[in-house]
Amino acid sequence: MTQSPFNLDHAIASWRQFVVANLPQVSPEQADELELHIRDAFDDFRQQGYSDPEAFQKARSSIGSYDRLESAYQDNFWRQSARRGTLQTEWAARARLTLEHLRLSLRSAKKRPLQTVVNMTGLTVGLTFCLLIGLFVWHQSTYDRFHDGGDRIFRVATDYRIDGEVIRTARSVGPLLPVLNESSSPPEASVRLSLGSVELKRDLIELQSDRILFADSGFFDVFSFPMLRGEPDLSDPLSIILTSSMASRLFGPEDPVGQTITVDDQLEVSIAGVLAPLPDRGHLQFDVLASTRALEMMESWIFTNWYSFYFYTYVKLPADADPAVASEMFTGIARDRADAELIRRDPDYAVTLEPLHDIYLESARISQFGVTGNRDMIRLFSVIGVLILLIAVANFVNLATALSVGRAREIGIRKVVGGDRRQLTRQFMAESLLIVGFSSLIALALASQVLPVMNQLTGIHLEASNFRSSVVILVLVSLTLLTALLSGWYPARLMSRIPAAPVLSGQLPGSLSKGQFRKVSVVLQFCICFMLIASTLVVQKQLDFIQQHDNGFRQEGLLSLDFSNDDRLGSNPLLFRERLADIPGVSGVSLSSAVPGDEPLGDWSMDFESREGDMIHVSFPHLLVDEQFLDTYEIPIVAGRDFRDDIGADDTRAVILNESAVRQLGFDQPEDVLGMNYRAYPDGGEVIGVAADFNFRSVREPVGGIAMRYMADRFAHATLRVEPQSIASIRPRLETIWNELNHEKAFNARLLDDVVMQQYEQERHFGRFFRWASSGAIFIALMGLFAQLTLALRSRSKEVGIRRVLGAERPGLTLLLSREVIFLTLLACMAGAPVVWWLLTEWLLSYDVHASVGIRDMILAAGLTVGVALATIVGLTARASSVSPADVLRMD
Amino acid sequence: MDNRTLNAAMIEAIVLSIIARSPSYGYEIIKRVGDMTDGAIEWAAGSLYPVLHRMEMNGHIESFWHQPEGERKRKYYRITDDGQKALEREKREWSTVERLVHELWRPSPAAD
Repeated sequence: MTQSPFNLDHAIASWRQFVVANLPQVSPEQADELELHIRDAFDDFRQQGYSDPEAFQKARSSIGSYDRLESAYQDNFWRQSARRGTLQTEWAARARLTLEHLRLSLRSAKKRPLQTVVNMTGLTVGLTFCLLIGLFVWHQSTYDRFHDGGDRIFRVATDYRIDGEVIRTARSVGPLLPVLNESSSPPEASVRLSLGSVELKRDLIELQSDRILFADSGFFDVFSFPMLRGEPDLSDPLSIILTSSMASRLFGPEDPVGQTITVDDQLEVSIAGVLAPLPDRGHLQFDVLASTRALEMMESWIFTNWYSFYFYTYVKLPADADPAVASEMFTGIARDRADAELIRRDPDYAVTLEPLHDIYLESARISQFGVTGNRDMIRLFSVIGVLILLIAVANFVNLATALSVGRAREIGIRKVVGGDRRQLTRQFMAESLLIVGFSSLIALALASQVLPVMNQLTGIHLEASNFRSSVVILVLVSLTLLTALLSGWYPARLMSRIPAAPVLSGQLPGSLSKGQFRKVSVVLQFCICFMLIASTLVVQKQLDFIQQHDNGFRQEGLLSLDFSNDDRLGSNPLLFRERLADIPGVSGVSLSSAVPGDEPLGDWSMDFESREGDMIHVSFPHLLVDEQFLDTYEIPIVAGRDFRDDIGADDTRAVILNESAVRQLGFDQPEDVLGMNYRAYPDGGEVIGVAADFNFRSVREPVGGIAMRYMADRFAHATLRVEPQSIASIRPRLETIWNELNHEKAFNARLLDDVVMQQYEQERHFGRFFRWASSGAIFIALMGLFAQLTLALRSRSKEVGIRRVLGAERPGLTLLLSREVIFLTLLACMAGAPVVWWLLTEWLLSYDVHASVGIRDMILAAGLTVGVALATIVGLTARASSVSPADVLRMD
Repeated sequence: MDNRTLNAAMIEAIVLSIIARSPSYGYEIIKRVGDMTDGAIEWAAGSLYPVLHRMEMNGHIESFWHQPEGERKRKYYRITDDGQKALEREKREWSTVERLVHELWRPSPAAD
């Protein structure tokens, strides 16, 4: 660049413009005075032998820093304004100043549209992710907060022993609560809950529900479920309370209170009231509320039996009670008053108080009421959300810095006339605030639109209206300000260190192109991307593993039909089975109470008599099957025999155990248990056979002991073995038979494969989540890389131009520019590998059977990460190299 | 000079003293002080001018624009009657301090 000759008047005019724009406290006359001072000083320095530019710079410096000027003139301004009553001028000046900053920001943004958009996009995507994740985490972490005195409400859970193994269940026994209430310091309020299924009929409307909640009359003293209509009265065994959705389905717009409906085709009950819609953030979800007195009429033994865990018990402690003390006291009482035999066998029997607010997310007990949240998933989501935010903010700061380079000249000039660091910081922050503020608004809108997808991902139903909560707004505003602060401060700090003269001549300061911060942030971002990609690969690997894992029975080619709660089919299941077996293409049909992947089996208490006459007391999940079950599923018998329909005693009396059950009873060989007598509901019998272990539940859990018995009145599922290719042709026939024999349940034939896989919804969600998170992180990191390379290219554009002129080929240039980036990316992968390896292995170990993390997974993930980085480089350098070298050199 | 507090305390007294001898303008005042202290005290314009304005608001000095022959038009300051009185007050107070300091910092005959 040929330097134009220095013009004092121009320089002073620029300086004056700056003062007017940035120091409203200095009046025009005062500015005149300062100008004169500069001119006098300039003359003096010229006389001393300095060149014109140098003399001007020294003269300008002799005025002092803008900060001092500003505060010194500020004081006088206040005094004058106070005297003249012109305080409004001060605020008007400030407003003018702010607007000026913003105007300059807009101008510089418009000058570089592509980069501004790139900058905003990365940040917007990051903020959107954070908003969605934040909303999800908040939703999951704040269950059950709507109950009054919720911090005093606890669930009474039980810890008991079976054969040395401690079982922690969320449930409790029926007689426990009355005993607690008789103690010296009883709870303020208490209730027992039990879930059941019921059929409701009103005129022609019939509804099936699995969620009738039987509750003691203390229900409304413990919990806060407001009523829409009627009275919160649970004292009458012959009246029920409906939820509003159930009420509208049965009664439409009519008032149900006082009316009657039929329950299970037997009983007439009246409607005592209607509940307001249940909040979705509560672990207690139900359709109908009934009194435990009704339950007592049907099954009174569960209220006095210390061995059967039929209830969920909740207590509300007085305000001054210590839960730990109460817990101990309740345990003491339980041991005191429980069945003596029970305590003799299990002296460590204990009850624990679980805080209401912890139930949904924290409780690790078995037999939970309904669905619980997944604390690990929440933690994971939170961490990833924070990481993505970090990447986005780091990128934004980097990009802001890169953009500043393009304005180095402008800043250089400003430095010559004395722009201070504070002024620069303010200018940059104003720009950042504009961009970040805009990004936040777009992120908010985007998040609302993407929410349905997110709901699909997590299986939770979130509302866009949640975004309007004050917490969300507050967090968003804080984030915006924080990001603006950071991304204004860093570039200003960097830029204000540029010495003025070299910048004017077109050179760029070395510190900018070699930034440590920049390198660290690139490594960090690609490390995160690598870890997310690796996680995606391994989660998918585990999912595939689960699907292919041998479950101990032949899974393909099995169709399952659910006829639970259906009277007609349920009353004659054998007829149903006959009709199904007649269908061509069906090679076997079996009936059972449940199928693999279905709801968990109930535990039944059993007493086995050993040959020595000792009683071995256990509790096994019960699977009630017909004589075709083991054949249809192709589960081998390892000892004894299968059920036979010609042996009458097989009906309810015979039991077939699996190998794990044998081990649990303390025997090594399956043959050892054959012929053993046992006692269990409804009567007892003997062990006739042992089957090989098979995975009835998710592979997350070890195969436990299972007892199989023949009880026709409990059959609820039919499983058909068919040739996979015949499935399509069989379905219509199945449907016809179903509609013929079925009462009102919809046709629901499903492949057993699908039923089993539905247990792994969580893993599928994980997989999907990781894919999304990886894509988001990669996208943001790409934006960041784009910035780095732009920066690098600018500073080396001359180098590139000269090389082209000297005849260098494009690949050579690509290599030159990509060396640093590839090195950093590989470094990132190596840093992330041990961390993600360990994390993934920990997760896999939570499964009883699992795939393993391998070197190949790491290499694949690293390859993908580097590949993404390379693609960016190639794209950018192609663009850069296509610029004519002559243009680049002419920039000088 | 490094001691800002001392500087701030002195500045008005010095300005009044210089202006009392003859009216002057900002740049000249700064130069005069620099010359008299061999560069030990170099005031920045940003330090002086606001002080001048403050003193003008307090009525100790008054300003006027003047263009000597062959030179720029500049803003000059001259001392007022109130300014004179203020100067006398400053002189008395500074003399007290000077006596004290002179006494304390005199080398003592006895060895320490």
